[in-house]
Amino acid sequence: MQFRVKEDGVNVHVSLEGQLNFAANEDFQGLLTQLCTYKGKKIFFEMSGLSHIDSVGLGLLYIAREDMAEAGSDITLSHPRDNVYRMLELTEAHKTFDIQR
Amino acid sequence: MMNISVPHQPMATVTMLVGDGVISEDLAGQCAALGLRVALLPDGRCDGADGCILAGASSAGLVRRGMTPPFSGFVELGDEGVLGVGLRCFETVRAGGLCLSLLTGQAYALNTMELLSEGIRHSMNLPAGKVADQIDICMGEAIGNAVIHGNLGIPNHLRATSKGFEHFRHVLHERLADPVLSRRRVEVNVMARGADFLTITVSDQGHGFDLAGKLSRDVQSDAKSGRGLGLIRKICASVLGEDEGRTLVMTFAR
Repeated sequence: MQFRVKEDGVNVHVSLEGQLNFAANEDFQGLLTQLCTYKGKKIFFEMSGLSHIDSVGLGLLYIAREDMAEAGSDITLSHPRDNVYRMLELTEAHKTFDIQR
Repeated sequence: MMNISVPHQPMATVTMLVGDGVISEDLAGQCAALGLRVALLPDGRCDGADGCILAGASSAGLVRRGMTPPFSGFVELGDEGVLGVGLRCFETVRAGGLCLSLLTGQAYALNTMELLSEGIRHSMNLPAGKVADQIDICMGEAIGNAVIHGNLGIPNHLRATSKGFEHFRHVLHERLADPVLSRRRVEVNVMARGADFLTITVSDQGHGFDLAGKLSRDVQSDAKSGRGLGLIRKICASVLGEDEGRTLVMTFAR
């Protein structure tokens, strides 16, 4: 997985690319470290570049959400591809995350 | 005494083409014992074989090629050749299916699920769409479980918090560097069951676990770990465990 972070003053946009799966550990740790510097922001995870997510990847998003909530920020999942959205649906991720199609 | 004659059914011939390196005496002997013909690429050919497997040190390019006709699978050759490769792999190819056998290090490093997904869509004529996506979800979960929990023996609960996640990464690096653990194999075998079903087995070489118990457990919607088997159960037409939890047999309606 690769990621890019951009801040526009109000929001933080995180573009994810590749697979967010059991092997994405190093990259995600880097992302968590970077996101910790933003307090009280709305964070958008742009998922259109994500080709696959598994339950481990989803678990990492839950960890990020918990950490960001402590910093007063909240997370929105934006534009997942159909297959990634299927995974979000199956795991009832909408109960926890704001999801924008 | 009545003499019953059973028609002789010759064993289907499987050829293994080695994509890189040389064919050592040991490897030739192992293949002979398994009833495999073995030859080196580029001179060796799949012609005349009932199934053809590509073998070698794994790279995304070689695995992709092995997942594409005329090949019916890819086997990563370790220091010990094909020792440790499950017989199911060769049986699957003999029966017209697709197999993949990787050492843990490569199963972790490569985009294993995507390489398999491409191969299955191509070899099994599986159109893109909901069913193919669901099969990908289950394969991704099963391969992740086989690598992390099966072969590397890392428990689920480590990833519950960001602090736990840091510890998880540390343990993961340590275990991937362990020569014994990283040489355990992850194997995936795919067989069409008539026109309507597809069976995918995912096997590891870890200590096994109580698959039936895990399959029957419900998972909370905001759980950070332990969701994989619940998802598989939700999607598959049937799920079975074999070999004390080291093999997961998933059957999908097409």
